[in-house]
Amino acid sequence: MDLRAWFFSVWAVVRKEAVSELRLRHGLAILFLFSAAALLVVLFAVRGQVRDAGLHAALLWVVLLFSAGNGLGRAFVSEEERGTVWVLRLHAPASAVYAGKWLFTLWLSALVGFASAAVYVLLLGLSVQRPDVFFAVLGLGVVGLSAAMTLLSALIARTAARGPLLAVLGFPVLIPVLLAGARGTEQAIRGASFMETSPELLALTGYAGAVLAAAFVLFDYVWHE
Amino acid sequence: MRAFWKKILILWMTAVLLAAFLVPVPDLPILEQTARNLYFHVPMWFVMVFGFALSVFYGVRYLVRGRIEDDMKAEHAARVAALFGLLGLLTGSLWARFTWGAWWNWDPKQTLALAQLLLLGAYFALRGTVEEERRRARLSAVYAALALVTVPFLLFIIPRQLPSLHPGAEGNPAFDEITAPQMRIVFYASVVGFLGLFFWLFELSYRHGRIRRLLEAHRYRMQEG
Repeated sequence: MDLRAWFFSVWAVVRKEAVSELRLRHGLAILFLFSAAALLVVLFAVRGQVRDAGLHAALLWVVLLFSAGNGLGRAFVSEEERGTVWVLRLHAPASAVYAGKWLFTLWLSALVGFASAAVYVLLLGLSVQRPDVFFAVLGLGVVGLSAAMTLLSALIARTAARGPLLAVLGFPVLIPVLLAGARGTEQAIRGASFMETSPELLALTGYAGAVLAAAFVLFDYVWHE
Repeated sequence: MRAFWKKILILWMTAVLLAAFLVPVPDLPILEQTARNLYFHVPMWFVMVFGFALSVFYGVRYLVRGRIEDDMKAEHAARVAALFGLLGLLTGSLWARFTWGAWWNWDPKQTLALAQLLLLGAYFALRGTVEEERRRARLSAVYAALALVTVPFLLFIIPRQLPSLHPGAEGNPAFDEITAPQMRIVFYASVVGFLGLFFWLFELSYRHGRIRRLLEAHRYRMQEG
């Protein structure tokens, strides 16, 4: 299969995802409502009394992780439930399916992630000293998060207990993102430069790259019987 | 003759146990007689990490060769590794109580160990939810391989975030500075002994699993008539 055809397949999967998400709007609505609920719980609990940048960063990443765990695991589960997996299996190579699903998940999680971060910062009146570093950490974290979650979603779609299992499988694998992300965010709020945050940025970049590379190799084994 | 190495191991471990409790340890402040825990606690962790790596190795070999025996070996290696991990956690917690003053200190090594135990727990949870043998083997191997990719990032990130109380970190005396020569001999002997113990338990566990599988297949055939 030549590269152009592969990219075409990837694009077709992304478009199919977008169309079916928009057709059944409840999936998107639930994702946003869920992160809004998680955000509100944190905001009510904190009520502007927290002054510590580290705590803010940790709370923000907990919100992100919760939204990711509940909203992003759907990628393959709904496919399995509706019985449309075979259509995908017939029409696209496995790597293109993973790439397409990942790109759509990335788009969704970036949307939710940036929206909840913005709401968090605005409602708490948090002054982020270095917004550029802040968004760089967030963006890189979301790339790694979505890459891992897409593979895990394909994995749990083939098991009996789908809902609770995603969190159980996801958390141990996502600890590096959570730790590096929270630390990087904290430093960005305090005003650290790109140089000072480079260990966290490098860790997040490396994590995303490693997980993506592993996922492209491993996805074949999940996808084909 | 087949069990010859087991007889050697029995003698070996007896000698290690006797030496562990009887060979005098240098009288260091705070540590005092708890220094003897070195002979048990540290080898247990070595064995857990080794067992985890062995489990991932067999998992990946299953993906490559497709023999169900490899998957069974992966499962039983992980089981025995988890047993040693729990023992290591208990002995470590006990040790921490009497030297560092608390049962749990969020030391980097403690946190890493906890993350690894969570990974093992998730691995077993995943196995428990898949009925079909081949699918279970594939999915759990994929998860183990993904875990293997993410663990190095933990090694990189966690020590940067938490101060360590373990020897050899940030100005704490290194391992060879606080251990007398006679302690090191007992320690290395103990590591070898515990590794031998791991292989013994692993073999028993694997054989038990294989026999149970054969019995189940037999019972199934009887029912079929």
